[in-house]
Amino acid sequence: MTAADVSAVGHGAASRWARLRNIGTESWIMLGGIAAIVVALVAFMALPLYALLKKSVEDDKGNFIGLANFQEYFSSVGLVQSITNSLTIALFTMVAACMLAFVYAYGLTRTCMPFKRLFRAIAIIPILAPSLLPAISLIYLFGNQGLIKGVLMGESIYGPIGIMIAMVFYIFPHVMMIMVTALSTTDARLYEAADALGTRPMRVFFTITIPGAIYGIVSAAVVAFTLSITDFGVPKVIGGQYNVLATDIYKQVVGQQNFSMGAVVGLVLLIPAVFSFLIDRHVKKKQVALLSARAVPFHPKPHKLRDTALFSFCILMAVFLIGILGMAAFASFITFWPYDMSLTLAHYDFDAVDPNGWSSFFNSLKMAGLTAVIGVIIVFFGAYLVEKGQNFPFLRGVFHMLAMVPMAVPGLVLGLAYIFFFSRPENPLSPIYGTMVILVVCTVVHFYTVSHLTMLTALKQIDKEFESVSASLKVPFYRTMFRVHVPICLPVISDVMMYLFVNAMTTVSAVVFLYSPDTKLAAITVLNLDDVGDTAEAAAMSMVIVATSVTVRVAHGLLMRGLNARHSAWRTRSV
Amino acid sequence: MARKPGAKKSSKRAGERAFLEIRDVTKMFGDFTALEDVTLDIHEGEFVCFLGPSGCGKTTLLRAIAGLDFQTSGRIYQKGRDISDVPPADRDFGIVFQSYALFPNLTVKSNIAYGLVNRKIDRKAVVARVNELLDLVGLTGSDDKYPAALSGGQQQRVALARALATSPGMLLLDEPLSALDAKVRERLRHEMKDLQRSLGITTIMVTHDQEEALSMADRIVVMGDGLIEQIGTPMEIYRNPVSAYVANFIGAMNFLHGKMVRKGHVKVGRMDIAVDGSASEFEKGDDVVVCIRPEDVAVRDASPKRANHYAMAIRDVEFLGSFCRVILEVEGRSDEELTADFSINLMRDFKIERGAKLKIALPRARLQVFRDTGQGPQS
Repeated sequence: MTAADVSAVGHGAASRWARLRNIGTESWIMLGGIAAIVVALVAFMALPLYALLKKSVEDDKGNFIGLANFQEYFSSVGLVQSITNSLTIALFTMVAACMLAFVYAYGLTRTCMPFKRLFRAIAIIPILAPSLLPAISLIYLFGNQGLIKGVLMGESIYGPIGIMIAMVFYIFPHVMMIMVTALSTTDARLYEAADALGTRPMRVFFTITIPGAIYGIVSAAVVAFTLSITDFGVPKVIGGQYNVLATDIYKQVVGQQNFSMGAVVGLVLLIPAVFSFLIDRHVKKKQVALLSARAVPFHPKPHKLRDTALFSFCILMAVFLIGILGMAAFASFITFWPYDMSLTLAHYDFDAVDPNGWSSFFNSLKMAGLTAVIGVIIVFFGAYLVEKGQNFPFLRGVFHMLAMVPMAVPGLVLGLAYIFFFSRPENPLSPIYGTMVILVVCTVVHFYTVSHLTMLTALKQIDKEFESVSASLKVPFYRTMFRVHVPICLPVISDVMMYLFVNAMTTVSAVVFLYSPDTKLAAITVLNLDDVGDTAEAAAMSMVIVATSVTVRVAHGLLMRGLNARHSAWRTRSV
Repeated sequence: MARKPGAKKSSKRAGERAFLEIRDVTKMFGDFTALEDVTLDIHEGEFVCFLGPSGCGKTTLLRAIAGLDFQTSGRIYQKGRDISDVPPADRDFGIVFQSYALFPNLTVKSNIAYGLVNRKIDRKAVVARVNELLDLVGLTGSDDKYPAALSGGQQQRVALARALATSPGMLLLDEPLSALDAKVRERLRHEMKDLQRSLGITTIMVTHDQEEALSMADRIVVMGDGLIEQIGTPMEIYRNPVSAYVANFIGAMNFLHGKMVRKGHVKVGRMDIAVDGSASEFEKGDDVVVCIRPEDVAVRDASPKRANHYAMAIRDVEFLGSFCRVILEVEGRSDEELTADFSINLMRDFKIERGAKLKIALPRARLQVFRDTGQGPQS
């Protein structure tokens, strides 16, 4: 190193110090904000997951025993069988859901069939219900006293068949939405070129349509696989003797109080989830810029045979979706299935069967409301700091990475991790254990990634020079954030709030380990009612949840319409 | 080497300190050097253009001046104050971006008042100032419109008004006209220049459009690969480019690749070109490139008595409205071509058309000779 080099380095360091001294209040606020969120994510996600990992190599008394728990697990035939069962279910569900959703989405995007908006709305139904609902409906349809039991020709609905059908219902909207996006982003000019060259429709389908949508299809498949392997509600209700990983965790922890073994199963469940998360990330990276800004939107031309065929398919699918929901609704009003088919409201008197009946519903409302409000505030600030912050690139990078983790962690695993971390009395945060706070925190973390990415996308569309302009006019960043970014993002803020609310209403997996009698939630009540055989009451409570979700969705729609009307002068197209 | 003549010119007002002094500014992005030891003085009230192709470092330099992206090393002084490590909020400038960066949810009025409201100026004064600025940029009456209701040109005027509202000491323009269509761009060019002149505000504009730079700037800083290639008035840059790079970037130019055959003479294909003293630094056998602008190719004086006259064949004629661009080739040699711009009169007088023959001359005073580095444009 020459003397000149040394002085250059010294100068650079001095500049850095001068800049640090000069950064002023604004940057300190930014630093404080990012640091606070990073600390929160570490405390409420990273540390609990570490506690789970630690638990898996300890015995019941907390002594380190290496991989003995794993040895025990893999030597138990019953438990290992669950892995095979889970994979079987996940693979079949993935294939079935993807094929159905692809055809449905194809109908919505590439044909001239009527009622497309209605079909799209119908396809969303399952999102509004807990995953327990389709399972309960299937029992009414195909169970021992089922309405159309004969259709199964002697096969039992309690087991893989039931799990798969209910799972397809529950996963369908998620997969369908990804497929619609994948099929919408296409360039009409490709089809015109193929047409001009006289290409046969089949060849067009396999050389243009499929390759254009392939990333979306892979992404949808990954989502389907993850959701079906990690869902707990469906196999719990309709699984019968067919054990899967998700129910094993529950049995080990809640049934046998074997926490170490629960931790081991949790880690096993984490593997496919993390794996599919990585595939999805990889695919999403490749997907960028598939569509150039010059692309011409595709407008389907009428084609009688194709339109009729897909219209018929969509009707069948809609009948299936509405049928499942309708069955649960119907069953909730029947006095005593199948012996007394008269209608009654008695099953909605939840307090008669469960001391925390209606109160659990109000707990759910409170929890979902808090999750939506607190969640959206953190998500907005977090995404803003990641996207628009100018200093501290390292800390922002760490935060962004942490924000991606919840996507890969199944709810059950997160819930379990919370038990291990927060139930220890020496943890200063342990007072929140068993309260509403831990339910809200857990739910916000559980659904953080999607909310974060949605908000990030919205913020990315805002001119990145606003901060520069603001600084040149000597207006602090937070002022511009409140006066400009928040109003522009209002539709997305509302979207994220609705997403958090509906998910908080319907989720079972994470919170099933964390509720106390005082903070029991409606979806948990459904689970308990079904457990003790009060199936009609379980169906009724499911319907109350659905009604709440629908109400919130409609309110959201009206709010959006109002917002668009009020801001029509500047909101030329909705974000 | 190529930078020195320009650098000397910039310090012509010796004695007084320049309004903005940029000293050895270097900016690294990882291993990539975006700016290398840039030194430059900008005087009060001056309109300076940073001109260069994308990726040449011109925007990086502007952002360093604004404090939006700090330089890796080097110092910047504004009115003698060292602002090298000062955040943008504590510097004194207004900025306009290519994207306008107008706040879409605020009216024109609120956009312009954005920086004023924060300064605890009383409401009446703010309104008066906003009206004054609206008047200045010719948008009186648009106060309550939202940016979405304005055309691109109008939006850029609002952005300009917003930047000027707080009466900053320096105006920075980052490709302000690039997003507009040709007609609007031309009109706004004049308006902005007029405005700048009447306000006397020191202005730096980044652009890749040479026409914009030539027509607006008092001085142009031509940049390439993170270095300043040349600094000078538009006329200097156009008439006396210091390198083939600058010659190529500004205006149309013929590049004739050849060899020095003896002092003052270049052989380009079969043409023997007599060049001025400007080529005195080259030795026999050096690879050089001879440059001449298309409009400098002469026809009227192309008598055999004068040096550098050649018989050419007309390969193609491109009609460009007020003049014609003519592609000439040395008779019988389709690989030795020359582009010339001729007025319509000249076209008529000499019956210039495709396939005809034509005698032309390359006036010695108009020729420029550079070393042929093998890079850059091929004729």
